[in-house]
Amino acid sequence: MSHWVLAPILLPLVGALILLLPFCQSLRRQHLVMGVTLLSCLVSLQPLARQALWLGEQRYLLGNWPEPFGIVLQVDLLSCLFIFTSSVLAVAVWVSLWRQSRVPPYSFPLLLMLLMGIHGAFLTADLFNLFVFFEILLMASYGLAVVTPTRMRLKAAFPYVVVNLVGSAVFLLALALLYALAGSLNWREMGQALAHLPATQQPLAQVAVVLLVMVFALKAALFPLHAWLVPLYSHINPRVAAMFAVMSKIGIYALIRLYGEWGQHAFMLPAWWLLAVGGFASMLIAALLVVTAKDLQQLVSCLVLMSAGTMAAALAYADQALMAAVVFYALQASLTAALAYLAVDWVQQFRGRSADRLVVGVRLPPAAVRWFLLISLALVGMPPVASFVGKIWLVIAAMDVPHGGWLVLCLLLGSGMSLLALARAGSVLCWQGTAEHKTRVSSHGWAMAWLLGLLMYLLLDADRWLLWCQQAVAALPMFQGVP
Amino acid sequence: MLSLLLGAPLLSLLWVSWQRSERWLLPTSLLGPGLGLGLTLWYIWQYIDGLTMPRLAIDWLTIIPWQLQFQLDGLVLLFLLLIYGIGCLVLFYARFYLSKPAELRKLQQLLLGFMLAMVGLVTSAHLIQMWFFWELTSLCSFLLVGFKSNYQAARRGARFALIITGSGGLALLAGLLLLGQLAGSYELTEVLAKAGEIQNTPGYLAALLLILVGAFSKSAQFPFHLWLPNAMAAPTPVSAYLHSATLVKAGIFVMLRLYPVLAGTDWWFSIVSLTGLTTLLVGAYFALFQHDIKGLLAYSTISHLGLITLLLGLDSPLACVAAIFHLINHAVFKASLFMAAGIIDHETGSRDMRKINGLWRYMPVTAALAMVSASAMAGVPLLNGFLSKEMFFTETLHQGVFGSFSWLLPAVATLAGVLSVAYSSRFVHDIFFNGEPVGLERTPHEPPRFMRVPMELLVALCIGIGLLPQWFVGDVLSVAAQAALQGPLPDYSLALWHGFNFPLLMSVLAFIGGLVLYSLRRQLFLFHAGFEPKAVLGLFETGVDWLIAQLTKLRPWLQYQTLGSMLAVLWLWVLLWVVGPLATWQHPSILPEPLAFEPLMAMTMLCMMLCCGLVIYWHRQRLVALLMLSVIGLGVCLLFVRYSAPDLAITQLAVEIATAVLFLLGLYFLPERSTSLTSPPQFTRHLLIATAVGVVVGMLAYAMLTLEQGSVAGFFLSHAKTDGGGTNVVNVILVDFRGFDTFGEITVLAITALAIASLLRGMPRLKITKDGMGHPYTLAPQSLLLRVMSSWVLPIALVLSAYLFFRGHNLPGGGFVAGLVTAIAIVLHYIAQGAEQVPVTWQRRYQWLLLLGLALATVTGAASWWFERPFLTSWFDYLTLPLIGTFELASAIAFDLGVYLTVVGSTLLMLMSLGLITTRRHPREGGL
Amino acid sequence: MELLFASLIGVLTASGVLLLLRKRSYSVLLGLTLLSYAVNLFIFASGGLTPGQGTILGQTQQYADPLPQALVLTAIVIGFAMTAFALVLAIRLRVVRGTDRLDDTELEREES
Repeated sequence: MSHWVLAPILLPLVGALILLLPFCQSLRRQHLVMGVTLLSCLVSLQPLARQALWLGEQRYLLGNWPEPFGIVLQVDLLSCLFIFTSSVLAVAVWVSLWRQSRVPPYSFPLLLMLLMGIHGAFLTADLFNLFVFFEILLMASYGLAVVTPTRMRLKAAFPYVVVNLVGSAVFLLALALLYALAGSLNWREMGQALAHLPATQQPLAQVAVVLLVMVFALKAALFPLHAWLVPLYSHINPRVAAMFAVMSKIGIYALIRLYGEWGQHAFMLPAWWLLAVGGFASMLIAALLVVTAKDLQQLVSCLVLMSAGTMAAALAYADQALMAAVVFYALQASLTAALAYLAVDWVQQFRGRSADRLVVGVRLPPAAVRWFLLISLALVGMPPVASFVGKIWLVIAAMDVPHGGWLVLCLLLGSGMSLLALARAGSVLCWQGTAEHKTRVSSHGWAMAWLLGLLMYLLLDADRWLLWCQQAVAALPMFQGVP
Repeated sequence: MLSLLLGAPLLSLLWVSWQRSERWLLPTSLLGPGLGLGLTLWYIWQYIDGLTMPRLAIDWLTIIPWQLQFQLDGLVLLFLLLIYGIGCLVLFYARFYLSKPAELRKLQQLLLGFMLAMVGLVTSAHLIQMWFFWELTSLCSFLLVGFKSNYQAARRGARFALIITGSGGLALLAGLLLLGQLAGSYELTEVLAKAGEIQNTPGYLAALLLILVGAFSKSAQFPFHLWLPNAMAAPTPVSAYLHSATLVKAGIFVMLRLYPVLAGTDWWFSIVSLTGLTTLLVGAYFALFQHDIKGLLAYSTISHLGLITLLLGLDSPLACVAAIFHLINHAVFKASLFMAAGIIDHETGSRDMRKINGLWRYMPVTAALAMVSASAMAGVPLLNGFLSKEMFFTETLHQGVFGSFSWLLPAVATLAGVLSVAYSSRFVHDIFFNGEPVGLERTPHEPPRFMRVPMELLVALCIGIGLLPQWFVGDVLSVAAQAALQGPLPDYSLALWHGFNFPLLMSVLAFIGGLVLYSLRRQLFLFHAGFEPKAVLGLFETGVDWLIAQLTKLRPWLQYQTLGSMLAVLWLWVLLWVVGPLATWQHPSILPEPLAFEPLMAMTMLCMMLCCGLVIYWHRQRLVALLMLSVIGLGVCLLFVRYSAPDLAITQLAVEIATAVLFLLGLYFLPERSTSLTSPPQFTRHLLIATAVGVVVGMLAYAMLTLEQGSVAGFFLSHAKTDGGGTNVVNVILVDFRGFDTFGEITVLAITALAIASLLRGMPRLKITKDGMGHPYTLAPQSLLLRVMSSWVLPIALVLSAYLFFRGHNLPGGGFVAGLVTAIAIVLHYIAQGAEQVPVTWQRRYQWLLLLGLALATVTGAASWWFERPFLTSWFDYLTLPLIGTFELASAIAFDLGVYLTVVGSTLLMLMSLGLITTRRHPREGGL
Repeated sequence: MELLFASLIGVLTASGVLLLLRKRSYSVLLGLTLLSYAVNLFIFASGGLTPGQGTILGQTQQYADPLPQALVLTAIVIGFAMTAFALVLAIRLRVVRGTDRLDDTELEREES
């Protein structure tokens, strides 16, 4: 097994360390280091993905200790797809800072550390190690959320931090209980051990799993643990929010892993229900909230919530095709949301005093109107970018499972409400107000073009990506018929 | 070839966007549609000759499974003819309607985009694909209606249209999905083939209703018709194209396309025909009372769409043919009428029929053309409208489903004919005659020569079809009807003269009645004015605003804001899901032997519980609470000592001290005493939640403690010495077995330090002079005793930490603890000596330490790659040196050193960042 | 003893939860600390209680389960880091807002 698997974790760390050296005082050098790090991350993904594709799942024994005892990293298509997403977003955020005359200190190292945590969480096959990486990414996200601490940002960040600390505590409770029951910390080993527990202990396993799902649901912002997302995402720096677009997907990833590894066992039954309730309720709540948004960033944040709910609800059907659709949906939804946040940043800067609030102020210029239109289409799930593929796959796959109609119904309702909200917002921002062109805005063009280009590419080369998503899900133990 | 036909508008669209010259705007925009028109005609010719039509299937998204599929047949070709034919004329017309090149370019782009979507819609051979293009047409219509975005009416009209047709589209999607589900495929040919099976399933009715809602909303059928009059805020070329010929026919298209599957049942008949009938009457009635020319035309369009829908609803093959025929005719005369309205608007600056009168004198040619078209609309013989209306009347006579009420249908049809003649007369008489213009800003005159060309062509078609229907549209009509019905055609004859019969009598009645009605218009207008006019758009906007206001009120419930509510919900949710399974858990009957009772430990634990109570009691007094907290921490230490965890005890102790220092530094900024914000009922609720959570966690802990399960522990115990090279198993786990966790953990520490440093950067340095109770702080210098002591403590602590570090692998201790001890000693030293002694730049030094530590840990881990082993593989050996004796050298030591350095660096960075903001060096009177 | 130990964990958790629900940032910090004590003891308990032994090879006849101890150690350190950050955030929030209240009455007033 090659050592490439560590590249997505170690490269950002090394990059961050270099950025903290006095050598990197100048912005130019910082950009250089960022660029090299991020691109090498993307490049290093290629051999990983190739291995995962040709040889199937690869397991890397850290410290060379045999499987249930040491920590194991696990590379398969699923983790590769998610790593790809987060790396791509990091590149976008970095590119969007190119023309910035100053970047708040520590924001680049924190961004890389966040990336390290995210990648670690995507790769590890050990529950406690997952906890550690969760803490890494959470800590980095706390730092990033308040990197330029304004009043509103701090106010939104405090509940986020505390709720997640409590979440970590619940994580540890679940973990300890699982260890006491299964005697191991390895995902796979644990699943086996839990399945063979005597019937009298099954309720304890159910409790432990429910607690674990609760933690992931908190990360994914599923009802009723969703309340932290919208206030946080709508107040932090939109560029940071663009990176955070993948954060709520980490919860979804963890859920896919959890259910993928253990889903076939009986002790998961309450956990499936928990997922279904949370997912559907989140979707509906987001659909109701989206029209009440006071500014554009809030609107996009509601849509992020909606997509998280959609994915969870779709997962809850425990259907292979739906789960594959969820993987692709997560991929495109992250890119789309990041694109939207970058656009929000542009709007905020361009409109000056009225920022991105949905009140009549400065009218957007024609080029921006075109971007707005395109992004709105992507957010609602319409052509011409890849976003609609994710949605349509969900819809078609949902029609084939029992009770799938409910998912379709909620999806349609959500789309309708999003359409209403975006039409109102667009009418205010693009059609009303004075057309002054005084403000020069630092160009986000490249970053947005990067994301848009990727979305276009995903559309044109969709077959390949869909196949990968399908294979990634098919390889999960749940669908392998593992007893 | 087919792809060229489909992509023709795209060609123009790209070219129009690309080229910059104003002069070339018209030719470039016409190129694509022209090409499309030519190809359509060629295909029609081929199709009539019986050649098979090509299909285009692009293998794409095969996994979903979904194929992009396009097909041509008679019906599609007819619609393509309308789309491209009228499209060309409208684009030509628009060139003269808009003078500013920038606006013209934008309009052309949008029109071409719409054309593309429309072409995609009609050629789709896949239900979901059809829906996508359907929504795209709605979207283009939204942008086109809002084209003059400076006007509120345009914005509102656009939004209204989008919401109605957009939500209709969602219903359509649901219906199509259901239909596909019933048919087992989303491919059109397969769906059409399974008509019989589908109609017998219970899902049929739901699918039918949903699809009809979609189609009706787009085709402006009652009660969804109101968006159309409000969409008249669009520029007139747009109205001529979208709102007469193409967009509004999309709903009809879907009904025609799915006619074989959906039609033929009582449900179809009753829903579609009644809706059509209502729309027919409502549209015609309101058309008569409009003062806006375009308003009149819009309502008349609604009425004609109702007529077509009614014909479809009558559910006979012949009625279907009539529907298609009327669809063609309506597109032709209505487009030309809209163009006339545009010319009048363009030349007079108004569309109000109360102002515009007597234009015959100013623009006789336009007037003549418009009068011919209006006569076609009224159904005057020799024109195309007459023929299809005759067919309509015939069909109304030939149905008997309403039983003895069947006579009502022809009667109502005649009444609608009367109204249609009346509003057509109004259009002609009020605009072109009826006195002189009132209060116009300019004198009207004929438009530019070429602006009239599209109208002239359309009027020629009106007359041509009216005189020689078989020659002009016979073949197209028959192939289109054949494709729509998917079966043999009924016998019908397209001819001007069918002899004296009942339909002709109805026509005559309608004609006379219409003229009479129009002559009585004053009384009618008075009667109509008696009704309160309802501004539908305003109502709609208010409705939406009301909805949003309600949701905003609901917002705090959907999106609770405070931390307290988030946490309360979290705990309640946890309880809700945990209590159920926990209740079914049965305590195992055979328990492992319980531990012996130890009074000392029991005392410790009781003490700790008591302290918990005290913390709660005194939580508003920060220092006392902190003290109690520390007592609990010490109790935890004692427990660790007793229950075989010396490493944990040392670490807990060190962390306890560090936390205390941290809190003491931080308390400076928090009020010393505070008032309670929690009301008694709230407190009770909190107490209930807390107790429940405590009980559950306690139960789980008890369950765990009485559980006997095997674990991986044995492996660690047996391999620690032999393969890990240390006897302190906990330490070996930390630096070796699970070294990666530790690696992550020091990263967390480092990130925390950086995040804290970043957060405190640029924070105003505040000097707080009073505490919460109003007592002033004294600025006493550090006590001498403390200073002297601390200078002794530091070296000792450093030695201690070195000792702890080196014994760590075999005895309690290790990098963590050593690092914490060092850091705490240094911080205490600073506190004693005064923070002034620490230069700000020292932050950098701590950062160096932190970097060095992390780098060392990484390098140690990566070094194993050199030996082709996985990351963090450890190595150790025993060396014998003279004097020192045998000692162990292990890579884990280097890793542990990394841990040590990171812990020292991070802790110092954290504590010093916090310490520095309280410095007195740059005091500023704060407002706290 | 097991019962007492479990009750201790329960009481610590309950106190932590109660303080977390209060409306001032300092109480929340206290609650977090208490909760982390409880959680650490809970993890510790997952290996069972072994009085009077150790985890040093060769020093005792029996050994306690070393893995939970290692986990607790990591959890203690991470908990320390998190508490530190929460404290600093609370301070920053207080300095910016001028109050340590966390309830929303003030928020409403600000926004209106």
